[in-house]
Amino acid sequence: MLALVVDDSASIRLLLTHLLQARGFEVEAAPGGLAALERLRRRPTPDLMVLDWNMPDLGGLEVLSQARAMAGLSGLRVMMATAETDLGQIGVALEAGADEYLMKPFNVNSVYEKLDLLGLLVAENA
Amino acid sequence: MNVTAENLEETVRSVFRGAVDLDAAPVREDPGAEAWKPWVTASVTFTNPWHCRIQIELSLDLAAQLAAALVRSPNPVADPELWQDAAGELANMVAGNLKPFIPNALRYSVPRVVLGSGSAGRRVFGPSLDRTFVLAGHPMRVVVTDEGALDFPGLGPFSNN
Repeated sequence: MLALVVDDSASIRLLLTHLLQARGFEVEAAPGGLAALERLRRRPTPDLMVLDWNMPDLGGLEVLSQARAMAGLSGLRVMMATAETDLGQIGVALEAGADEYLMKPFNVNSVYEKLDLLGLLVAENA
Repeated sequence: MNVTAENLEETVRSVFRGAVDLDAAPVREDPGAEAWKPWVTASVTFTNPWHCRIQIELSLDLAAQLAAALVRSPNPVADPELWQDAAGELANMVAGNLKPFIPNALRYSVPRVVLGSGSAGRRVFGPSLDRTFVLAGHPMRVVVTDEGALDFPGLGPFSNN
């Protein structure tokens, strides 16, 4: 499975890449919303996008909205990641088309629990 | 809701425990400027319509340790840009987790990170809350500053509405 990690923080991109690769994902990373949209226009289509909410060039919500309007991305699962703990924000993200929501700070277990909820968790690499 | 010393301390401890598995223990004594030179300042600003800055100040040594812990690296992280990035991301997490305590906060900026203390250039328009913590033997200061709501008196991080 292919995952696209979108976050303006290099630390978070590294962390999520490591966690996802450990569960068998092939991972690509984008440092902002515009780069993410550019990647989504190409093939192969990612199975999962982990998308930061607050980014300088284009926010995660706008990326999500545009991604949901793109043809050929109906199978894309989107997990929004944000430091916001406001429950109202979760509702906004889900209404905009997010499949799951990951609150920062997150730990290994919370990431894998969300992947499990999405039906994307695969066995740990040997 | 309101930002108090108690919810600031609890939020900082919770964020650092979750993100880097370190205890951020509040301390009452100022360790002195020499304890954390050279240092990094990372800040995030809320707007709506007043400005409130959440700022963390820490030594480069601590920033390097936090970067390694944040990316779960068993080895030291050699890239100073990643140290600063990690400091910015941790400031972002503290701000996001403090947001429920800040009345009327709608938006906040992406993190801004600079080398050196933000204290010298800090614009003080209103009250601020300042707490020092110790992580892995290193000091870290967290400051919440009301940077002004000139047209909207009574709003801001320390109001009661």
